[in-house]
Amino acid sequence: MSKQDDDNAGPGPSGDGGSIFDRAKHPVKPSGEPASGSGAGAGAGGPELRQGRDDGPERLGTPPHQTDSTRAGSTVLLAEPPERGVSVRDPHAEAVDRRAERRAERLAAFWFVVSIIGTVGFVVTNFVGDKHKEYYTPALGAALALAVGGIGFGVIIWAKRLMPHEEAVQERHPFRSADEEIAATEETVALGYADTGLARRPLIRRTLLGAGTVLGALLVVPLLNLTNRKPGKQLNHTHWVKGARLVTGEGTPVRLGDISIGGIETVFPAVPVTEPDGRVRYEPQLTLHQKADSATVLIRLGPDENRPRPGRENWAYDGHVAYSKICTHAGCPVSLYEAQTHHLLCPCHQSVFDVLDGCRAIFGPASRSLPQLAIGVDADGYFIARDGDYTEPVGPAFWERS
Amino acid sequence: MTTVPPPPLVKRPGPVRALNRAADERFGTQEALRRNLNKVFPGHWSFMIGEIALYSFVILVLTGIYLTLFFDPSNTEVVYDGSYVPLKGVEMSRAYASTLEISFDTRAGLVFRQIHHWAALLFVASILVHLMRVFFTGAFRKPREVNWLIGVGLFVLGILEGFAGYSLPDDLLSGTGLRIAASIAQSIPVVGTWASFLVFNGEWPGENFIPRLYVVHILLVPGILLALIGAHLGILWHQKHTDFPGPGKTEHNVVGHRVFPVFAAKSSGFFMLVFAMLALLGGLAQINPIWAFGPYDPANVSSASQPDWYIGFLDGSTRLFPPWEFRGLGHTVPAVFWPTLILPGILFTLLAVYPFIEAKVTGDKESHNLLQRPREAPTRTALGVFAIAFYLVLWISGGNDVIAKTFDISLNAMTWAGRVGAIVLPPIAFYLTRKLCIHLQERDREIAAHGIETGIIQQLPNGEFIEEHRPKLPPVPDHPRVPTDRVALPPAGEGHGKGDLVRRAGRAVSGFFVEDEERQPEPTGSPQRPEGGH
Repeated sequence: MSKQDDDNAGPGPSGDGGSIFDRAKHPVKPSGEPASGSGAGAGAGGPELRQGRDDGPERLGTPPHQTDSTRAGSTVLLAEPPERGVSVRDPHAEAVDRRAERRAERLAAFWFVVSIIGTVGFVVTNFVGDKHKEYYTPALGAALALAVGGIGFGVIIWAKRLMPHEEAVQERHPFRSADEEIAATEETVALGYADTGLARRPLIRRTLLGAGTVLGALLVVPLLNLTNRKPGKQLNHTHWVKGARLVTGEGTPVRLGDISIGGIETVFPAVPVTEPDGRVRYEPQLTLHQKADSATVLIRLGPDENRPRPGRENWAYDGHVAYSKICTHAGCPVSLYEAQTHHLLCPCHQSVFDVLDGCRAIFGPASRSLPQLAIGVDADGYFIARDGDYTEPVGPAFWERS
Repeated sequence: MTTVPPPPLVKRPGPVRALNRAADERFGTQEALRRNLNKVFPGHWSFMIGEIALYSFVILVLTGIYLTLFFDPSNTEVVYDGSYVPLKGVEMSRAYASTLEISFDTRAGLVFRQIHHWAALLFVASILVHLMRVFFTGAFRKPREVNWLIGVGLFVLGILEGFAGYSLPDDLLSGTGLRIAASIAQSIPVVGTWASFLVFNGEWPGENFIPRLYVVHILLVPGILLALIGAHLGILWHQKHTDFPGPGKTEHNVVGHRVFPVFAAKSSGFFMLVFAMLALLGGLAQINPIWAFGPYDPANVSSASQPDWYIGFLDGSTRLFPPWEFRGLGHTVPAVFWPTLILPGILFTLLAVYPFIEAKVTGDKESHNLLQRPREAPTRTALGVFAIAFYLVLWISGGNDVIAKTFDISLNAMTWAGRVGAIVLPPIAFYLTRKLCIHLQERDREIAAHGIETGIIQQLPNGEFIEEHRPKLPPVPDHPRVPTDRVALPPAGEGHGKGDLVRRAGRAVSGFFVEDEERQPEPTGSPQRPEGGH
């Protein structure tokens, strides 16, 4: 290592020399000896190594700052044995060519100006632009991109082209402490622990441990306070009641004959309410909560197509069948019906249910059939839930379900 | 050495120096400030991926703050009366209505909402790619296992945060996603129904759930993310960045740019470019057009509804998993439990403990600061590709209905292809990758032993033709190398544990010549234990 002393008078911090040109023009020879005559005014010395494109003694307005590697002999040419020939890659154009350097400077400045334009554009578009016009959002996005990207490009060009091309080397330290350091620390803790007397006083230790555990268990309380609605049997019921009319999402009751063969309608319950005067009103149950478990599909099959399960022979009415719309897999609405194959498909995870076969799950991740709703027709010709609610929980399964 | 002695103290300090001295008088900053300004960060393009994640997070916070000023996280039902005509008069939650207001009636609302969404996609994506970089180069090895664990935590939380975010607008798509989430919570054995009821405050769709989700999205998870990111960066800063092997690079040094000014300049420039990219996307590329989906309705779903990309692999695993529901003794373990909770649980646990498993299996107890090329650890690389193949099959299957429709393939065939592919493809990928790594290693050895083919044919005296080989030249550094300390203090007095800066700097550089340089014992004033102090 050539321990460089100050006698090789590199340009001092106050000197005007030390341009990065010097380094490039008088590169240190591979053998490690410093190039001759560095320092003291860029472009003045070392003609034997001058690069071709240097155009004379012109000085830029602001000479680049002195950097470590420009100080004489600083490029220690670390570890490069002479036989390799080259010490480092060729310097960048900006380091040897002033015009290239000035171009880089102008390019960075150009991007900063672009940023200003972008910012102004953003502000103008924001306040003057019409937010209902199609150009508004794209123009804001583009202007913002120019505003921040202009600074981004400018800074990176500045850093890459005009800041010194040198790499710093830093030593790493192993993290492990010295043995006595570890021993001292461990002893400190041990002594402190001994001071507490926990080891000697099991009564304190055990009661404290117990108190801490009980206090930790207290965390369950805020967790349980998250709801006042205990699950109980809620998941087993929907809003269907005996005699409820089947109404569409708009609340229109569905009448026999409204649906043609191969047709499908999503229906919800409209529960009968007896008015004081004795008349019966049907109240559609169409809030989110009511829809979430009561959504049902009413499908009209061709004559004799339905193959009812044992015990459900009269759950259909005149080719109409009603099944829960809530997928038994993950609760999405089973909303795609293929009239040719009579398959219901859940668009979330592609479970397929065979409508003719009691909506059995025939493909995909669902494992249970869609629950069936027994339907009938009332005296006025409207579809009703003949027996009341579904006989099993609708929707995705859960632990308490058998 | 290039390190110069400190100049005399400037007599009449300007405002910057005055501020510096004022801070120093109060906090004693100078040594730490100098050390951190001179901290060296190696430069490699692959180290910038993690930066993208960090910058996306910053942009998420900035745009997120803007959105909170206009978003109303309320389940209250209102009738829409904004400027988006197709939804006029439709009943919807305040959350959805205010998202429409942000999109159509707030200045710069849509552009920031879309930047926010794109930044979220980029955040998780860059975490994933960064994770792969760290994995395949062995950067997770000792002493960096803890940062790996934090990173895995950030990945999982990033996914959760993204899910919570796109579930907030209460549109049809996000509501469907939440409906599935409730079903998943409900599927947990023993406590499932309670878990679902507690989270959603009752039977789906719960009571006033959006305010809860909002707190999770803007306070709880971001707070944890922020703390973990701070720890992640703090550990990185303290342990110093890893680097690929190269000329003059050893286990005991870092070669690169100092924080001040080059690294800071390049990094802030890069932040601006990431921001610019996201601004362009947010302005020009539509994302999550919630007005097209309509408000949430539990009885409706649009076909081909797709979650954000980072949920895709879970969607895929849910689609592929067979309908295995366990029933007995009056209880059920639903099919949805396995692919949505058990599978990701296993995946993320394996991911988290991988560094410890590898160290156990290889018996490697050393600390490593130099990275490996993927080929240098064939089994690890093959395991990584195994995992990627598995992930990709799940991810592609998450859109199997769209693929089936686009390419007119049977959906059942797609599902079966995914089921078989998830089992068959990863082992094949493992085998091929391992083979390829070993082959590449052999080629490297070949070049090291016999040199590079030159294309020059020689005839030997016995008439045989051979091709001339030349030894491969060792790489040269890109730039001149200097010690990182610009200004060195004279040797400090006794008890200055860190030793002489100049000598340390010299040692750092001389690491280039002699890797096994004999280390002189540091002249630390060896801590003397006080006798009888207690």
